[in-house]
Amino acid sequence: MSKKRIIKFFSLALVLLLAVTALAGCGGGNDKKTETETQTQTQPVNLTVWWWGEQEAPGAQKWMDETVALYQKEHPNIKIKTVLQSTDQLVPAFKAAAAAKQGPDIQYFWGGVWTLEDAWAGSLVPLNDLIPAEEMKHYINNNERTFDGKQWGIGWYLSGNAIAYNKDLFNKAGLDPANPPKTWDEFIAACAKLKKAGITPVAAGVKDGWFGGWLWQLLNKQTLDSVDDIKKAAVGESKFTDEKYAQWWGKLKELKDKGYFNNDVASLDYQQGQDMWLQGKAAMVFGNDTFFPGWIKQMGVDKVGIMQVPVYGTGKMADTITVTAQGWGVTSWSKQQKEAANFLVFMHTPDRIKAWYDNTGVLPADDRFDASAVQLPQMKQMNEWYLTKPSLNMENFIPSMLEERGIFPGVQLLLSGEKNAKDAAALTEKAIKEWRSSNPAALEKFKNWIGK
Amino acid sequence: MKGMNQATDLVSTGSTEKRAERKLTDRYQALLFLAPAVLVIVSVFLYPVVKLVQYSLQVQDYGQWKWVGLANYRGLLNDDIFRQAAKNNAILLLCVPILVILSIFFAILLYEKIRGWQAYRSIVFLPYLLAIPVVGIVFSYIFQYNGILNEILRSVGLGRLALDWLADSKLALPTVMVVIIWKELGFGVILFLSRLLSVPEELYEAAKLDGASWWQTHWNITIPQLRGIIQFYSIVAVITMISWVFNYVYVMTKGGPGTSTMVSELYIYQQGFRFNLMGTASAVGVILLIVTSIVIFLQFKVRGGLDSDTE
Amino acid sequence: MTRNKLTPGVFLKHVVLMFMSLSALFPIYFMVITSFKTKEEYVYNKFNLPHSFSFESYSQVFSGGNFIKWFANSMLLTFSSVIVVAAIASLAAYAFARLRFRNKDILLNFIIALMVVPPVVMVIPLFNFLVDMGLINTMYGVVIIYVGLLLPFSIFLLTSFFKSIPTSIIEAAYLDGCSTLQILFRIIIPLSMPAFVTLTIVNVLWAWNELMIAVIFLQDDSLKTLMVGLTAFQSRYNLNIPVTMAGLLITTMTVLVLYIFGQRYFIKGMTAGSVKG
Repeated sequence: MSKKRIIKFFSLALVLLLAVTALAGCGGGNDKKTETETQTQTQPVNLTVWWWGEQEAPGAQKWMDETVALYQKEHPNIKIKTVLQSTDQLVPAFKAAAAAKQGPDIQYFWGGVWTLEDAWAGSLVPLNDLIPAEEMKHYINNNERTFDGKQWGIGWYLSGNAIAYNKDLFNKAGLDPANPPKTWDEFIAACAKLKKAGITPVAAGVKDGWFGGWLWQLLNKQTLDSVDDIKKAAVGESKFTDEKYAQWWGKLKELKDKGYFNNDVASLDYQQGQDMWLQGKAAMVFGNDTFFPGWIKQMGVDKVGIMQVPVYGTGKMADTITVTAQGWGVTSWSKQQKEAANFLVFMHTPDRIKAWYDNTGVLPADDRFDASAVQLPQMKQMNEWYLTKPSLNMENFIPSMLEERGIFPGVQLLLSGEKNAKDAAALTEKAIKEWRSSNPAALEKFKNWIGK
Repeated sequence: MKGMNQATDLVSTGSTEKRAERKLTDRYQALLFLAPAVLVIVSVFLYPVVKLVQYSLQVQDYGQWKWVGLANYRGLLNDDIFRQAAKNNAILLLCVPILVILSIFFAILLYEKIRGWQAYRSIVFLPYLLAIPVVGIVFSYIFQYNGILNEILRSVGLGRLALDWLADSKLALPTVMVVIIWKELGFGVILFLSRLLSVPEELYEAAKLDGASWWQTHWNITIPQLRGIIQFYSIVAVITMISWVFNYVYVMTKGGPGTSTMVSELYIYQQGFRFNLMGTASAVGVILLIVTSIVIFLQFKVRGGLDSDTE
Repeated sequence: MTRNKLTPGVFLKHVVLMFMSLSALFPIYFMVITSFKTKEEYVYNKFNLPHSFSFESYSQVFSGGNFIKWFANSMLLTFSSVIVVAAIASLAAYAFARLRFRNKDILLNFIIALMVVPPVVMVIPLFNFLVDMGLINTMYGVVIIYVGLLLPFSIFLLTSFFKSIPTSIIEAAYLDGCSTLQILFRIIIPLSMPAFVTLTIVNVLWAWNELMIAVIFLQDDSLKTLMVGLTAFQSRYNLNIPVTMAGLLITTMTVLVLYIFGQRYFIKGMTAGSVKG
């Protein structure tokens, strides 16, 4: 290499380096505009929305793009930037943004503790002053996001749990598809018949953990009266090894011992378990209704039945259908909170609510939604249950440590045959104790959350 | 010591004055040569590492940080899931000797240039080209209870060997280790091969003339020639097993079944992003940093420092 | 070395290498066939060839976003960080391998140890750092982080290779009156081509496949990298495997093509390093 080329190479590297450092030096301060709370119509406003949902409600992206376009047309001074997050990125990205107090104005949140943890951390503003009570009362499931008398987020669309079943396979096993099992005993009898006919009764996959949480909340709620019961066990007023909280593990063990799950339940992810059912390789699946429209489209409207989770318990929540509202919060560092809230209200205008349903087939979290628009009988049924016997999704009312260290591992080990019901219950109690000792700040918040 | 000898060899070629001069220019030049690297490393690492240490001594009380001294560290030592994570990382270290031996083995096979060696060489490196999430997803399917591996085993009458590879607490970690080795091997092979290709061929010719066997040749020539790279590769592999296996575990098992495949990075992820305990998450980071520094430092000491493999 | 005849020993070598090749190729086969299935077909046919080749997944991937933009972003990020890293690391590695100064071992040891700080734990402080610098949501910010994260490994690798160059060659150059820089560029770097080729490949792969930093630090659709864009549709509940595979295959294809076309240089680079004598 000649000297000239060496010098050339070096100066290039140096220039690159200088460029990078120079940009690093002068870039700051751009975003620190001071803006007053009350902005006049003419001042340009930039809103950033970080969201999720296309993944479970296909069509959401299209609706979002439409909604933004319409809103920007109505308010020419407002520009909205939406960033669709991937599932694994949703939480870490927001935590990073919260630590730096810079990020979105509007953030997507799952319900309950998923919203409130961030509210407690000071990352959210209460919406009571930003959205009129008259408007807010129409939103469904507000109580998921209430703490200290304030509303820390609002719902967008509903996501509830029921069992979907394959009518053909029910017929094949001599079961009446019009009368699915209602009680636990009927359920066990139906499973026995299906198994005898060579059909896997229930498809599931617990390798990635999530489905363990669903099983837990759907079965354990049956012996409880309200979500406050679960909060009580969380803060230590009762124990997860008490009969009331441990009984469901026995029901799960019963299903496992009798071979009513697919034999690879421990090695499949949740989605793979669902796929199995979609293939027609199993009769029933614990499902999430945001997926029902897609499944029904794939399998045919006459083939899919939906039923409630069979009842064994006698708690007040035994015969309910759990539902959560996936939704939104406005960040505490946002410089245009009022504008952000206005956009959320726009999402709930009648036209947008209807458009949401038209795009996704998923039920919106607003009681002004005209249910007569719902075509699929299965979704009509879900909507009716939501109106008549809803209950909160308990998974949103427990510390995540209980899930990650107690419920997920407990379900996995029980279904792989390595733990019995009693050990699994002990594992959840151990997990909650660890949470209490390692996170006293959260414990305080949970104590204030009970019954309020 | 060898390093010392080499230094004396060097300076013996010049006068005392010249030696002093060389030393001065060396120091001056080293400063210049290192400046850009140090600048970038300090700007990227200094702030996070200082923050890491700071967070590790605090807990977050919803928006406010409070000093708690060493409480996070004590909490870690009392947490049996952390101990399990540490133990699992230690077990993963077993991959290091396996990787080193297999890499050298394949590098030698390829170096001997049997027919089609170029094709083999391209193929052996393929797994390393794939992103870890891809590898994880694909192997999750292969190792399912009713996945292709077990289907093959059953069809050839080895049904008893068709185990639940990723869903049995005793098997999950070894299975993950197989995948890690599968993916990381290519890098080792190419690394050793590229070093072998710059070994003077005369050395091998001489051994051939002496009538040395295959083993003798490689034991006496190849291995000593590779020593520096073995040291490099081992350290990189050790660090990989301690701090860069998150994606494998996250995609294939999420730490399960139970907590049987929990590793320190996943532990950090859970603590920081799921449990809102950035303090303990940071404490793990600090522990990792300290432990590895000590291991690497001892390694250098034992091997006689940096100059050990200059001839 | 000359080609061997087909002795039992050579045969055994072929068997071993064949087995290795099959196991290395299988997942790629799986990706390719899966990407050409429809979601429905994948459900019942996982491992066999698709009944009819469907391009649905690919059209979904390509319509899923601004593919060309993502590709350009990935290219920009990857190559600017890899070039800057190579330049900075070769200077530093030369100092570590060939110059004498106090506390050399300790400094190198410290730099290597930094590799062990998992990115998971750096995300939040780094985010804070970039916000303070005003570089959040910019390519520059991510390039700086990539360069920083790749440097310890790169310095370590180059140092190891530089050290293996016989001292006698450098001595001779010194006596010929070469300056340090000349030694670096005329002797060390040409003799270390295998190392640079290896380093470039490893760093390109790392940067190209990097997800965690890119996903959190580039919150803007126009700044997405290929990897981020294509994995964006994965989710907690819903995983369309054929689409995922098509997407991942596209990202992989890019490096695969680079690798295949780079083979010639790869081989040249590796053999160029042969030290005769």
